[in-house]
Amino acid sequence: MLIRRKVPIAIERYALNGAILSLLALLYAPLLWHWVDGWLNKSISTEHEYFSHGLIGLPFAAYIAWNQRHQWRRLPEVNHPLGLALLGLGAAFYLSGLSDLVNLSLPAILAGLCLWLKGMPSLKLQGFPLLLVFLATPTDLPYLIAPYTLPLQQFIAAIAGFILNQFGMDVTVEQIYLYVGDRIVEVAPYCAGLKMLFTSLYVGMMLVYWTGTWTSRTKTSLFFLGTVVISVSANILRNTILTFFHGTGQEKAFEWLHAGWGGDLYSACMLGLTVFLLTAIDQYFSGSPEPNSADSAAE
Amino acid sequence: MWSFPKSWQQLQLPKITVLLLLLSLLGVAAAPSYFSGQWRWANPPKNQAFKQLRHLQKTELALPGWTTTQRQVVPIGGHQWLVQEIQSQSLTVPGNLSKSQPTRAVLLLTGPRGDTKQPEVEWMDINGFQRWNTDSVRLSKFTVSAENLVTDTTQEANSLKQLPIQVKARYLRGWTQQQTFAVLQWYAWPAGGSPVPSDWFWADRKAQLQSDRQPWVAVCLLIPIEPLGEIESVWPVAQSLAQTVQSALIKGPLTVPLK
Repeated sequence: MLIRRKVPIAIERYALNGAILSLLALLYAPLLWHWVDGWLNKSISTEHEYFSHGLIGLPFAAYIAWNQRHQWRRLPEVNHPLGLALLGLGAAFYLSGLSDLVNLSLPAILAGLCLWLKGMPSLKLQGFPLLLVFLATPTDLPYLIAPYTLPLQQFIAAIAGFILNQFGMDVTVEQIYLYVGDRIVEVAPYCAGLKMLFTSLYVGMMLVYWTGTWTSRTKTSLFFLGTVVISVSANILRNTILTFFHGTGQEKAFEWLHAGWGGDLYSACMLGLTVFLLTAIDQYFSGSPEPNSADSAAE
Repeated sequence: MWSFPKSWQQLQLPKITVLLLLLSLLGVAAAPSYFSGQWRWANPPKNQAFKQLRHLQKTELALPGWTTTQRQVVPIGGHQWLVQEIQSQSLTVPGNLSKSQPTRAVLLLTGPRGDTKQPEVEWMDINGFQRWNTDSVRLSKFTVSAENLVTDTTQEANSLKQLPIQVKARYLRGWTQQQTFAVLQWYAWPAGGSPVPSDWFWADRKAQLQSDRQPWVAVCLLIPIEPLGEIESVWPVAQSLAQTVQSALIKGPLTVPLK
């Protein structure tokens, strides 16, 4: 009797899991395709393009979750009511049909699934992949924070103007405008480098997780501080070069670095620099004993 | 009727709940889109006004009580702005020496070039264009009564009549060596107005939940005043003109097809 029952349970369970996964795929495949296609071909809105780090983040999240499938199976079956609430919220978002809300329904439903099927411990287990999905979910947040980047834009304009003056170019800076001869370059909110900053912090997060650096608070803080410095200075340099190209009438070069693949190449180089930074930090600390590990050794 | 063993039930009921929820989402929202190939999230709801606002600068805004003396199109910060010089005999700016001299003002208007274009840094663009100094910035408020805006007498329109439309605007002084202006700036949309892009954003998203949009127009009013004169005494004129502009926009390009 006992044996006979076990078999259908196993089949039913796999069938149920399979059905849930297929339904999720049916619900979200067109949306995920829309994101990926939009990120690759820049056919998605400017705001949603800010989340193009999802191109590497989403597969990485799926990979981590897949690797943890045995741990997931061992978790006790406990149902957290918050999970049901999140599932309901996700469903409402999905039904709204509004771009941002439908997008947000994905992390809501995934987190709801975890909590509802396996309780709080599952949220702990899947926390990082869920965070990766959430931070790669395109919303209009960049539009809403754009007005607050004005000081950063002014700072960039001032530094870019200063650098170009050093090279003998006649540049006047007013607020966020660089006047080069009869041409005006505006350091627009979307030039403030938030996209680059977001991407490098996101990739940094993945690196820190991948290399296991996150166990050391010193290394992690140093790394993220360095990443912010690299990203902000790289963006100032980029704006300076853009102003130079525009001011000297090299429109093709300007377009290439502004909206063409030159911009992507520039970002890729900057990301490479953060990998280099992490290696350097790691090597520096492996040479000298690390305060954190010393603490734990003393205990 | 048949029942599961208790342990089985405990194990699977949550999953069945999830299954049913996802299945209903598929049935209600996703399946129809699979058949039609149209996904609601791919594009915002349609609103005809966005199409016509693209041609805003080719038109002229008719303002009751004001006559247009000159109109031109000026590129400012990547947008084409309609610049309309207007004057009124009925309103007077305090400090004008002769009462018979008409009150002059300049109206600058620009609208979205597509239905995904959102208000951004239009006020900053104007600063960059004018290259002026600004001060005495304050947030001002005015209302436009909806009564004379609604022409049809449907039930929906009647309920709209009750609520005056609240508009917030930036009031400031802009001056250069040559000229000083009292300046009033805001984004106008059918249900309101504000100089802050995020105010428009939330109004628009609220409308999108009801499958509608809030088309917008960036408005900048310039009223010439005496060199470095104070702007508060001009406020009644600015407010009256602003109300006229907001009503004209709602009765015109924001809702009705342009001619």
